[in-house]
Amino acid sequence: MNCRDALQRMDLFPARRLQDGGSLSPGGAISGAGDDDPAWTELQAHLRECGLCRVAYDAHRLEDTALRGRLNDVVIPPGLEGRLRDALESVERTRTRGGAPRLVRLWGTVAALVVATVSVWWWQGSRGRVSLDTVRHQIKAQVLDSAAQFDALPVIASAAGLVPGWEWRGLVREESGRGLEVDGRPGVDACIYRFADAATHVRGYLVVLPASLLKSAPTNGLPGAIQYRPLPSTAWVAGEHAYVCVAQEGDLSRLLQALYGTAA
Amino acid sequence: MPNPPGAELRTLVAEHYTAVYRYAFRLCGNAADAEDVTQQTFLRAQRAIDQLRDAARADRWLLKIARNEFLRRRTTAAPTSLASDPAGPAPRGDEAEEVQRALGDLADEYRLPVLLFYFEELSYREIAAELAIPIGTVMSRLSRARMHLREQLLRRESCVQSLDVSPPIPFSPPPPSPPRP
Repeated sequence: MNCRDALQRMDLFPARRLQDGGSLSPGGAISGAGDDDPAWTELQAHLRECGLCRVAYDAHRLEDTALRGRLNDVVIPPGLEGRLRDALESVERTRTRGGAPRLVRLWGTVAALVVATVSVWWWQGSRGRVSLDTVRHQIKAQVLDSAAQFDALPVIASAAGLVPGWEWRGLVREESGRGLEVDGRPGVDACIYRFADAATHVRGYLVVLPASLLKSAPTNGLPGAIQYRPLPSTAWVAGEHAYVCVAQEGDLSRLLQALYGTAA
Repeated sequence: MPNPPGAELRTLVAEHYTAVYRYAFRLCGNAADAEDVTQQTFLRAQRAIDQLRDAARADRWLLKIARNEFLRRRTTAAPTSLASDPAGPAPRGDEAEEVQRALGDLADEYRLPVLLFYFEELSYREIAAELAIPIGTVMSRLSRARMHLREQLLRRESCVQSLDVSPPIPFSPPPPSPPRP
């Protein structure tokens, strides 16, 4: 390194490094924050050997220190530290005060969502999920055991359209069905019709209910196999509705054969 | 047992608020903005106290926050003159005003390297990295800026003594060099 490089390199180091280096003496070491920097090491080596550059270095260091001192010569406003602390504590207080309710609100919302989700799931899963056997037993208990009970059921005026197909419309006696409760909870779940076929001498009841109400709804779209307990009955699904036909009198298989050409 | 965050921050304020304010004052040029920048610096430090890994380097961390806060405000607010604020309490007599005037003579691209060098004590390489400019540019800008400050602040004293006072020369940057291919 020559003197020109050394003079240029003096500018490379911040004032504190030069200050930390202290005044140089011939052959003496310059310690400072730049020890790990190769440029600083080279400068040190040159300064140890060159008296002129040492003088320049000392002048440069003193000048830089003076300049740094002038730049730092700023009067601190009175009370600044107190104002800063007040501002920080104010923000901290706001954060602490506002934080807890936010947390409570957040957890409250989450808990409410969980409860709502579980409730809907439970309601959907448990509401009226009944088996076909349950439906048959409800028909027997509420209607078949006493003919008078059918007339006591509430009339559903808008249920006429629920009768499946022209075959059954000819057999159903009343225009209006009656409301039936099958899932054990208060409220009407199904619509029941009284029917009678003069040709086969079969009379009984036809129940229409939402297919979604059944635990395992039949997959057949027309009357399927006849079940004989507690009474002869058959069930099928068409669209969104499930149909359960219960014969109170007569041979149900004959009726089905007459209507559909097959007993099952 | 580690100090609670509030106590740690109070310690930071006590130890470094003067350095932060001085730096902010030189950046902003007036006391009101400097105090705002100082306050915002510590508020940001409060939010980001977890990012301070080495407490021994807290001063550099805070000064960098102060610089970023100043730059952020400068981009959102109208530019202000760097001449000393006559209503501000910070300047102490003619000497303090002289410093601010000398800094105000410098264009931004010259003043910022000087402040990074003398306050944040960054090396040329670090300044180049912070300002995203070549190290050669940093060297030339810093050299010219320091020369200007020395002329204005240090040699003036000897000039005054010899009654040979030359008026300050407005310092403007040279025309930008063409971009490198």
